[in-house]
Amino acid sequence: MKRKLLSILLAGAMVSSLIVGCSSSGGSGEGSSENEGGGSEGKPYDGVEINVLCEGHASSNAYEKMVSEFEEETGITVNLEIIPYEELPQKVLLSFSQKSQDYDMVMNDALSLQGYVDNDYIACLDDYIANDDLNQWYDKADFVEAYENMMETGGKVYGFPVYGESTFLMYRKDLFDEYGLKAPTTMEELEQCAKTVYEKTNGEVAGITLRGQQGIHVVYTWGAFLWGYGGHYFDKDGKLDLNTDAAIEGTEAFCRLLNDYGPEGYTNFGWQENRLLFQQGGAAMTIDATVNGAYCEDPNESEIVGKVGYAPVPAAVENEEGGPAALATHGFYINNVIEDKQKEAAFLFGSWATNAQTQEKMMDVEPHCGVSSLKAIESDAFQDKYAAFGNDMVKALEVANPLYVPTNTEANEIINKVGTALSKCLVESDNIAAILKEVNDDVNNNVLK
Amino acid sequence: MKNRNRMAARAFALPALVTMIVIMIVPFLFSIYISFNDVNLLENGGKFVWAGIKNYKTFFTDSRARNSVVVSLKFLLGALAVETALGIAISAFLDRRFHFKGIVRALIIVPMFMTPVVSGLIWRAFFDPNAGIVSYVYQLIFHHKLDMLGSTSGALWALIIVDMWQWTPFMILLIMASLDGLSEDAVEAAKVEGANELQIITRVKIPMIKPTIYMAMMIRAIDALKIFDAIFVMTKGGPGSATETMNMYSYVVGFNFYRIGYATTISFIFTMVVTVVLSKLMQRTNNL
Repeated sequence: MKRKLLSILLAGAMVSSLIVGCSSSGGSGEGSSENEGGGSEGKPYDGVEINVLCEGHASSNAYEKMVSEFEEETGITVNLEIIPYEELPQKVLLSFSQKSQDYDMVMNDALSLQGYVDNDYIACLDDYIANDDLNQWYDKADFVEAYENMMETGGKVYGFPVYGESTFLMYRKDLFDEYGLKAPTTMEELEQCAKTVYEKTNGEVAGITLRGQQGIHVVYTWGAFLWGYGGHYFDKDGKLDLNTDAAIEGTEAFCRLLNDYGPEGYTNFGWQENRLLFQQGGAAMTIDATVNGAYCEDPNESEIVGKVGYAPVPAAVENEEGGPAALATHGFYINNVIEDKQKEAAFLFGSWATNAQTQEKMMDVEPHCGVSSLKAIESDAFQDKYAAFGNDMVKALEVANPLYVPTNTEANEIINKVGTALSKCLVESDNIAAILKEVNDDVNNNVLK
Repeated sequence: MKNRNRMAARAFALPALVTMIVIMIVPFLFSIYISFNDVNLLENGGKFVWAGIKNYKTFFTDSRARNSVVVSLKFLLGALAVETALGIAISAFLDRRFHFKGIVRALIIVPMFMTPVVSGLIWRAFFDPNAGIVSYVYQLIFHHKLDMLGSTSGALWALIIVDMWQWTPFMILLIMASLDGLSEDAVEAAKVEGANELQIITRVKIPMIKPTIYMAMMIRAIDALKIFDAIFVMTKGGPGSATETMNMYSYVVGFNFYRIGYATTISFIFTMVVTVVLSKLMQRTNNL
């Protein structure tokens, strides 16, 4: 009898512990803790702890090595979590939409900024910038203007530009000299150069290599052809406008180049695969991010050090709306639901991380040419390390197109749909007009309603 | 006394029951509820907005969703047919006495131990048209490179080959265990009647192990329908949407488009498809 009673009690306890366990697991937001110990003299944020989510990138690695300097100076403890970029947007958005306080600050590309602002996920920085007691490091005038502009919307600043890049043409000077070629300035010349190298080497060296993997990768390189042939993403009413002669012509040229003179397997080339093939001497040209210059000139990484020429992305026509060079910026954003003191501490870290002095030092600890500070770009450290392409990179930034890829709230969906359509164009190149019309209608009817 | 015993028994069953309700039934019902809502992480701060059957209507008008159903079924039929045929053939071949039979059996099931992501990455390298072994062998025979992952028809076959490599051993394992358990009487009787080895296999042994074959097919069907890892690392659903299964598309809608409501609808419809396929196979098994 007693044993049975005991059994029932035990079973009841198990059930109640299960229920208690479940209920206590709810409610995210205990992640970032604030030490209420109060600040010591001159360090008003002493004891505050902030959690920062970073993407796997040279800049994040540099912060990891340098963050102790900031912690020493401010007394703020910074917990950096670095995850691959592919996983970052989802993690950030899930955290934001749950009003979680797990992260006080996150890094992400500027494509996401409009969506974050529309949903009140991130804090406006204007008040912090204007607060002289708080603002020790933020210097708007020192940022590359194009990068800083991408951190703003509606005339307000929402992010710190951590790093940025444009795109340029990289070509093999040795092969071009051997076959009497000049750096192409038009799309026609680009195709001619690719054809010459491909034919002269019997296909051993691809005429050109470009990213062909569906999604953002193919969209990123195809953009050069869209804009280079006079196209654009959106019409005046904000509708997708890829069902145009310019877009079709650009896409045909893009597919022709890769199918006729590109490397085998390009349909699965993302940034990494494309970069590696070019560095290993497998292709005569590529159009890709300016950051690739650092890899091409790194003797530990590249077999073509000193053999690469850098030039602006060629264009078939002059496009008044925007040129064929990309503009990409990645920034730090402050979570809007955290306590004020946490926000201020995060602001301090963001402004310290992106100020000129920190960025100059970053180049010493990591191979990082995408610095966003003008002073850092003009510094001896930058000129010494990246002399081979530094000036070309700056030139590319001057003409970089902020509309190069969509940055509206629906950007991710549009990029994925267009990227899937382009991947299809590459394998069904006689059907390009129909594929572009299909994706155009799909986006306009289902995404931009 | 009896009542008390019953109460004690119920009390003991309660934790398991509550656990099942909490981790299975509640999320399942909640997912159905989500599928009737518009939940977009980039709209209204991710709040639920009642949408009725809108997501279901969208599914049936969404050409990419329809394509994903077709790709899932193509993959299922291709993988299941090849794996079942190979599983039966290899098991029949191994169903004899020979030296090192145990070692051979152990070696055959090695691919099963590999994580699908790892096997996907390895096979992606094998299929590389420039440096992969598959293209190399193909080039020796046909004198040009083979880019299976870069063609709309080849990519799905490449995925079927990977699945076949990894999961045919599972079929072999179950079929061989079943063959080992067969009574020798029927085989001996067939021999007395003058049946040759092929006839014994096709007309005696296989009919006798049909329930096992159907059960193995059912388990493989579930796995084949829910394939994700290999596709994610090998093709990301491409080229175009040639290898985009329902699972993959649901992931894209949920984690690229951030349309959680619609992604849940796709997952729910996927569950329904799996249930239909399973019930058909179970019906066949029960009728045996």
